Amino acid sequence: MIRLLTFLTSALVLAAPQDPAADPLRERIAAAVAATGLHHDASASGASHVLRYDHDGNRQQRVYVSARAGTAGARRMVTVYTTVWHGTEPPSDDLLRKVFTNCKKFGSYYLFAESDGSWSIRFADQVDVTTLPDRPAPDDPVVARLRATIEFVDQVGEATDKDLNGDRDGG
Amino acid sequence: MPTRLVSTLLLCALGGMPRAQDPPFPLPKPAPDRPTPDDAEAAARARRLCEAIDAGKAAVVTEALLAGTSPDTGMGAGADSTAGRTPLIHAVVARRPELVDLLLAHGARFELGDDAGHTPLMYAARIGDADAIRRLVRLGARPDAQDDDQQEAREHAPDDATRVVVQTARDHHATLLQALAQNDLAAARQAIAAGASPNGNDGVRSALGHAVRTGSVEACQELLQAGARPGLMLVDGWSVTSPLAIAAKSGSLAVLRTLLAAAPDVWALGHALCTAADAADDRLQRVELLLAAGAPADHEAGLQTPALAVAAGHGDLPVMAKLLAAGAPQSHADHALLRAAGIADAATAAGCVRALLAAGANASAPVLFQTALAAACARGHRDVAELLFERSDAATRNLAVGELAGEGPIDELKWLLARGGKDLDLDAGCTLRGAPLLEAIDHANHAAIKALLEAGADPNLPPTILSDAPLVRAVRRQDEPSIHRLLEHGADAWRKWEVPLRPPQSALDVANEIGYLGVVVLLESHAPPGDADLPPLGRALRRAGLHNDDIGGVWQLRYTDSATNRSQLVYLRKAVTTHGDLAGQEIYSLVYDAAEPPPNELVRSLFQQRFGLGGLVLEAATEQQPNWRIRFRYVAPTTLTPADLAEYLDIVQSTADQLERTANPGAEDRL
Repeated sequence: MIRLLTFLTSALVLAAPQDPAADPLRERIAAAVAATGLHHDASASGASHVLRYDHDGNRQQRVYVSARAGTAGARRMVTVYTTVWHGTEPPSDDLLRKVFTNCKKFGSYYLFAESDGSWSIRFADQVDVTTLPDRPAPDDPVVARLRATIEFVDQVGEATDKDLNGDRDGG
Repeated sequence: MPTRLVSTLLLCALGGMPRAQDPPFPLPKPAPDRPTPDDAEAAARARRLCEAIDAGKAAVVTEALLAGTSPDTGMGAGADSTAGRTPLIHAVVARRPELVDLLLAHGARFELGDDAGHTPLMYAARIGDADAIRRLVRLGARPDAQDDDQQEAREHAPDDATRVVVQTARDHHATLLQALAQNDLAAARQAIAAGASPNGNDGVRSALGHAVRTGSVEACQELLQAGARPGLMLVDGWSVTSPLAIAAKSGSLAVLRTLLAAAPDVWALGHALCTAADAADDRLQRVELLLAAGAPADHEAGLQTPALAVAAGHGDLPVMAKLLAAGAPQSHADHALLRAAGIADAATAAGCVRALLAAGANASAPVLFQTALAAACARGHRDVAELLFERSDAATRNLAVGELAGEGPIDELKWLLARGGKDLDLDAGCTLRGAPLLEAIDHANHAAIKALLEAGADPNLPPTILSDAPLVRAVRRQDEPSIHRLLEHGADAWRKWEVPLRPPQSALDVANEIGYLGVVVLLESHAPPGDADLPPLGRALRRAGLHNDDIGGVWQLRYTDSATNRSQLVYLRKAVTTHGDLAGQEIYSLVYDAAEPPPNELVRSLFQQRFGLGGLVLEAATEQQPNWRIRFRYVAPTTLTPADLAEYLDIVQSTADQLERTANPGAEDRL
């Protein structure tokens, strides 16, 4: 039973609607993103912090940091993700196998059904913010890990995007 | 040459030349021990005795008591509704005065009651047996004794007549005790002449006991004629004595002879024999008098030291010879060896030990977890210790190390450790004593701790349900020098010890728990041996105390859920993955593992799920890895604490197991 609950909370919490004010970590996460020193904006929905990266060939990659923490057991985690493929139709089985067998040093890919009926393949990793202080400093280990993870997700996202989409910038 | 011969003859004539090969004082061989009944047999014997008393079968009762059946053990409480009645209570209730006498002669105790503390006298009052009341009081039962409800015998009387009998006895008793409390023997004699029991006592004092102490043969004779019992048991807590025992140890020989002339019972004679063996003077004569009067040389009562062992403690070989010749058994000789080895004077100890060993005493028969070997070492009698070491078995040697590790002299402990060498099992403990290292820690014997560790004692000795790991014990005792010594020898402060009925705990956990903060810092800074060779999460895994198997590139851990009876393997990769400032080690668990590729729908379904921690990766079959796999993984930061790592591992395995179930609903647990 406990294992089932652990699974359910870790699997579903990101999708569950929550009162933003009910998450005491929300402000600390925002402060942590700010402490990374990376330029960022709030997403249109307010659910994420968005960081935009420019790459060669006038390419861009957007990295999202969830504004609220998910739960895994007793741990509080933020998800850092980027889109590597997007389409109005579901991706083919071959494409999925190609992406999902592409194991990276950190993080993993997943398929995401957008609310407008389109489909995305995302690359994501999580950072443990359980011990995040109220006013995190740039040299706080969690902040350092968050910054490194954001940069890693951007790099993997851009490389995968290029691999899957060629010159078409999907990220 | 002639000069040397003359010198030798002269020395021999003067008796001043010790001879190393002197034959020991010739002691007779001990008698064989009586077989000791086990609990079941003792209970069966007690039942037979009580049933024989109830049936008034005097011959059966006599036979049972002579065969060693306890005169104080009843049939027990419970289904038989006897509620702990002693044999003496059975005799009172059965109205068998001759059996009361018989039981008293074999050491039955008046003060022992049933489970509610009701004494034999209270039972006599309950059944309104005036004769029994008078008889019991006259023999020495105390009318002022109280049961568990603080009620006396008079309050158990069913009618006024019985109550008057008890009250009268109690009034006389009070008068006698007042006289005894004032050491007024004349007043005591007057009280007895006026009707007080000649055996009235308060557990410490009796009229006859007082007369013995004053050395008055005349007073003793008068009291004996009045019915005073030489063997009256005076019980004060754990202390048990009798007028005869007092006379045997410290009374004049004339008084002792006077009491013996009154034909004391066998139990009293045996008891007095043990005290006679402890007498400061005329020991041999006293022992001879008692043996001649019929004292059994094999007398045993509770924790009382046998006469032979008492005599051995004095190094009194002639008395020991008498006792052995009179039938002192093997177990007494073994006990005597322990006492002899602990005699302060080295020469006396050596002579006594040699004599006992020659007579057949067993050096490998500890008494209450004490060994003769340790006793000799504790006195620094190296020659005796050497002799006993040769005659001791491995278990006895180990036990001796444990004894010396507590409070023994460090030089002797070192000698024993060197003498025993690798044959010693320094990690062995026994029922009452833990392993020697734990004994040393308990006694804060830092020199012993050092000696034991240097001799190979395990600083990481696993705990048992009754004992701690050494470092945990030292932390609990807040003994910093012990902690330092253990850490210097590789004690692991981080290792979580698993013990039944207790949560896994490391020494560091215990230090935190009891707020021993100075030591917390010390323990945290002490990396266990081999730690430096491990990757960061390998160290954390070790410190988390989770059982794992090293299978090459990964540590494998098996989780079992007792509720679902499912198990799941989870793996922690040894290699550290880095990218820029990121560093981590992969934790993974399999969700799918089959020769066939997973169906496309399954892939879509699984990979559409998002997780608070971790994600999925698909592995195609290869030549090295013929199966298709789906792994649930998370590359964890290398900075995780042991507790955090344990939580991450649990999250990964539980999520993977749930995914496996989702992927294969109703299928057998395979991963």
